[in-house]
Amino acid sequence: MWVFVAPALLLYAVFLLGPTAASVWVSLHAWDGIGEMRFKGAGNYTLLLRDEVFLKAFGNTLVLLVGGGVVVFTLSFALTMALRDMPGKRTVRSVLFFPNIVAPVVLSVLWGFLFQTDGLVNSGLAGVGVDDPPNWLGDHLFGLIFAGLVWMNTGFYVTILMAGVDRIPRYFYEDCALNGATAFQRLRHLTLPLTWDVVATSAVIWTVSSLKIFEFIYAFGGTANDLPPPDVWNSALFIFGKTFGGRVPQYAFGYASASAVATLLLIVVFVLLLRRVTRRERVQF
Amino acid sequence: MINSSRTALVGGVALLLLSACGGGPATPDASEAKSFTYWSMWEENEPQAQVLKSALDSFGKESGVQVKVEWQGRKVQQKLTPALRGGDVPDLVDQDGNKTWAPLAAAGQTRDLSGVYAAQVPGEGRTVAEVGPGKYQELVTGADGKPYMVPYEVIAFGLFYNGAAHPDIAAKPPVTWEEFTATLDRLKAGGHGPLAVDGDIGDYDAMWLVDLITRELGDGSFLKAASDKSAAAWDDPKVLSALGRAEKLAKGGYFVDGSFGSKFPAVQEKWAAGKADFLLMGTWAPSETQKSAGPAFAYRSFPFPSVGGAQSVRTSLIGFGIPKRAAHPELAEKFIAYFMKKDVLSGISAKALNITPRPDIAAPEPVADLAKALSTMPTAPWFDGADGLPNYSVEVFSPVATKLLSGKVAAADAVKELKDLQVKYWAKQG
Repeated sequence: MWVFVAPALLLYAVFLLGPTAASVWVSLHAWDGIGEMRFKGAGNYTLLLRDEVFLKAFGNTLVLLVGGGVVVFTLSFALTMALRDMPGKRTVRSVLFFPNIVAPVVLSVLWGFLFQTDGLVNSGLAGVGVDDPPNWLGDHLFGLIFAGLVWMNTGFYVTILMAGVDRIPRYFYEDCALNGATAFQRLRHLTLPLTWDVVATSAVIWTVSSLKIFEFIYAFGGTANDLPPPDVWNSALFIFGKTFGGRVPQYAFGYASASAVATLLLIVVFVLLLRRVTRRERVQF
Repeated sequence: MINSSRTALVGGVALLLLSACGGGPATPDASEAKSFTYWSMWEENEPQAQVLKSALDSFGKESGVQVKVEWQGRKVQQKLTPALRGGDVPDLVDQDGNKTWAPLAAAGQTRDLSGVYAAQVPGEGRTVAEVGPGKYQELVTGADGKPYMVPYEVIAFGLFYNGAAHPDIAAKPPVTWEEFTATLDRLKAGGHGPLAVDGDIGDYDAMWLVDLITRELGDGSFLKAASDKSAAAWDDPKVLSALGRAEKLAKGGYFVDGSFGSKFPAVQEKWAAGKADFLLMGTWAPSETQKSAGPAFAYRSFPFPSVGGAQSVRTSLIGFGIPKRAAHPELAEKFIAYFMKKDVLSGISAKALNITPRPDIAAPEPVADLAKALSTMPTAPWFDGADGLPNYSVEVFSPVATKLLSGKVAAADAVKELKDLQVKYWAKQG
């Protein structure tokens, strides 16, 4: 039997397990990628706990993971409910999905044009009589990044959730209508229980993908040469900033590995928690 | 990104294994020693690459040395680092001085190029140092006192403006800060902010402050203050005075609208379109803004004004270096000396439109003012050399610079914040 598993297992070991183990090993050292590694023990980790730049980046990662997750899923459910009976829902769904197939770098350019001082948003605001519009990019950069990521991802989860909702037989909803159920009751007692497995899987996908967010923040907040300001970094940007990023790259591979391992632990804990919280019997229908 | 370095490492190991299969260590015989490998920071279609290519060809014909060139582009450094760890090292590499060579020199990975500086430029009867690069040698010397790079392109920094729109400034450019601010006041009365900065690039904001600080305290003072683990150097009252000048610019509305709320290059485009007057930038500014500036735009420039003392020209260098483990360093050195020949190097000015380290090669028109300043004034390194402190600009200085220049904090608070960030920065290094 194991012979059949061997090729996949080998590739998995070489390209995933091996490098992960190597990261853990490197994270215990100081290493510039060229010279000899110098053993530091847990030094990198204790440093991470005191590094305000890392803590801020880690906090931003959590904000995107939890806050972004709540907003994305709330919006996705609301849109799914609104779209369920709408004529032309396929078209709307495609439109919503669109940001997901465009490269994040392109979207970040568009987002920049929209929100810069002479951009479309401020022109629009001026048109309706707002004389002193906010300095979007200067004062609300992280907020815009948050909003941009929500906008990009919502379409994806709407599509997945709708696939689940479409499987629910119409007569359940007709029954709800006959019994006078409110929209919330319909969601709580019908839609959610019958799409629970889809929701649980989506939540795990969001967790993993939100921790890998990189291009949008980098392209939106920085340039080809320059890192974005550190207060909008997430863990992925932090790792980049400590290795290859910036005009003079730092090549702190040991320290960067430590932050990568810390982020990996965060993913593991979150996925385990999510699996635990979302575990319930699948409803057959 | 960790992943890509891993892939590179795995690839490097695979290469090593493959080459191990090919038999014992290759001993370079006479025919092999007639060639070397060059990794270039340019892409093949860039003008610099064209200049280098024709130089490599003529060098090959004259010396019989074959050069295996790979046009790597700006990612050359990402490829060089794993190669230095293990694998085939190129014999010659070019890159931005501080970005590539300074960290590699600090890691002991670069060859001492004193020999090249002392070598004769073929057919000219003068050494490489004497024809021009000597002036910059100090800027590319490591802590061990040995030069690790020979520059062939000099980037200078200064304030650019449109000479056609401002003939009065072109006739008598401001030299002191007082003259400069008087000009600014006059232009501001015209109804727009005269200064342009793409404030979303932290380093562009920082440039203003680095210049203000070093003009007040002297070149090298910024690097010294930044390297101070206690950050007490920032308590010097002159620092507050320098930052106070920046605060005045910020609060006085001297920066054109959108300077701190746009995406690069929106503001420099605005400047090129004539909606602002001055842009503090490197000599790449003309080529970056040419399209929006139009043919009537006459690029003129002057070094950052003096504050009670002397002026200097801030520079950054692009040039050749040789990795320590290179197999054919002598051949690479021979090519560097050859490339410094007047007729060869002049392509960098004539075709690639950049300043060369040789004062006897006329600089291209749009950057001629700064080239002239280079020949008469002392040079100071970009960012006062503090860009070599890993992430110092990104994590400590630029955030404060952006806040101060955009008017979000006052000078005194900026000093406090700077000290606080710097103490924390140094506490976690080492």
